[in-house]
Amino acid sequence: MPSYAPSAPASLALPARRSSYFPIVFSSLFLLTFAGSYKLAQVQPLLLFEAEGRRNIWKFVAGMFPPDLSWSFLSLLGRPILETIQISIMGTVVAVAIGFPLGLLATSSLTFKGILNERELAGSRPRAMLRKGSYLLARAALSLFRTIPEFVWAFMFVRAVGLGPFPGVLAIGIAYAGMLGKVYSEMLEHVNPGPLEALQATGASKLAIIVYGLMPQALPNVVSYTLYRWECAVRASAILGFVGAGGIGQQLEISMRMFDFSQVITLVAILFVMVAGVDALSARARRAILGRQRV
Amino acid sequence: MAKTTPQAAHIALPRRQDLLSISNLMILGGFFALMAWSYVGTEFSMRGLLGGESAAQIWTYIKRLYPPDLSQEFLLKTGYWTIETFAMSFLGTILAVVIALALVFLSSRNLMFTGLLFEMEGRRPWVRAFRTGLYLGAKSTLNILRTVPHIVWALILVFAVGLGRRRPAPPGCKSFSTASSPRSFRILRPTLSTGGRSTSGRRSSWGMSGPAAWASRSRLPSVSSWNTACSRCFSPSI
Repeated sequence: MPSYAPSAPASLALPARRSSYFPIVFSSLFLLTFAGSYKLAQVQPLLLFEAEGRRNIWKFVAGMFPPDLSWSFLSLLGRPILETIQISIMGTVVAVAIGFPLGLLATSSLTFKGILNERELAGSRPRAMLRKGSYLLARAALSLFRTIPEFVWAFMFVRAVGLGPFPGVLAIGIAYAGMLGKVYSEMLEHVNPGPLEALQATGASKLAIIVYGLMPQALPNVVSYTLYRWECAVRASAILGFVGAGGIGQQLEISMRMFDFSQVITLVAILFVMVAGVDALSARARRAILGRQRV
Repeated sequence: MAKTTPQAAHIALPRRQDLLSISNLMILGGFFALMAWSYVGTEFSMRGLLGGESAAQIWTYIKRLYPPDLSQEFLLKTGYWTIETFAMSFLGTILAVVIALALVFLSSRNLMFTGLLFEMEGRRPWVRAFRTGLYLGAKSTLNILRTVPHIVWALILVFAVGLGRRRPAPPGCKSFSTASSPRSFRILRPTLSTGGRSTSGRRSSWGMSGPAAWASRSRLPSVSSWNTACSRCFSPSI
């Protein structure tokens, strides 16, 4: 018969605090980086308050008022405003069309890892390598797309397809595809695997597992993030005009170049209203699409 | 033993969603109408991109990319620019966080005038009105700051500070901080407005002030790392 020795009484002393050098090392590194960056970026906070800085700021602020609300100026803005919204919508659609398939390929739990692929890839090394290769390729493509800012993409596409809103759409489509694809893949990777395993146990095909197990779980986050990216796309498409990719940015650039700050303030106000409107619209869409699922 | 009535059981069942409901179809129709409108308005054309002159232009562009310039002089310059870009993003993010933190507490409803922390203040409407005013002011400031694109901030600050010895780097930093602070805020705000309502309530019952109750829930690392990533994306274009 086993003898049960009484367990040692729990120590009443508080656990000793473990000393770690990490906070000291991290703080020193942070301070060093801060000092280095401060020197390298030639930060001079007082520059804004020097006589010349003050004069320029005053010139800018005084030039903004009264805002230019003349009909001759406002009539120029109708088409660029609509164009900005159109660029953002079409750009987001292109981004989803490119980003979603790449995001699926860049999801390790769908391509080569986890319970969904265990049986399929067991004993088939070339197939496993092919899957992993496609995963790495998709990740690399997404990284490349999002590393280059949309501004630079726009610059390249303007040279390729000429001036107008089309290069703006392509720039937003490619740059945002990289961001959307990466985030989609992370959302899909972090869903609860339970329902997927249950579906697999019933003999469901991979497509059925994606449609009935994966997407219902990931869809709220996917929709929410896509709408947020659309809001960002409106802001981005407003500045792509600086390189000739259509939208309100073109007029903004002209007004800035001509130091016509009364026009600049009008354009910024219009941009503000536009962004607020898109924010409200996407919040409504989010509620309409997701609200019923979350209640 | 408590019995569940059939009526109660009926209420507890989730309502079945009708995917083809009129509201869903209207949303879908609206989306397709917007897409068609944008397709026409932006003169979207895959043939325009991949056929004829455009394809030739793209091909010329790609050909001119190779071979990449790997000369020592250019690599040294690029290295310097890279470090400068990092410095701009780093300082810009710190400034953005400072500005965002200054405004974020004022822009959180549950710290300014609603919720558990202010339930007992019903007898002082003027204080509530003052707090609401502060909340609206802070929120509008953040909205204006985030509406103006980075590049416009950069142009404004280059105009104010100037070029030459006063190179674009400092205005670049400032443009990050002004346009990124609302970005930090957008991430902080949901945390403040919705996150840990019960926790802040519990801590306030211990005698903690509103902001202190929130600050004890440390969520800053994720916010700051996200924002640095954004700054890194924008600094090359500025």
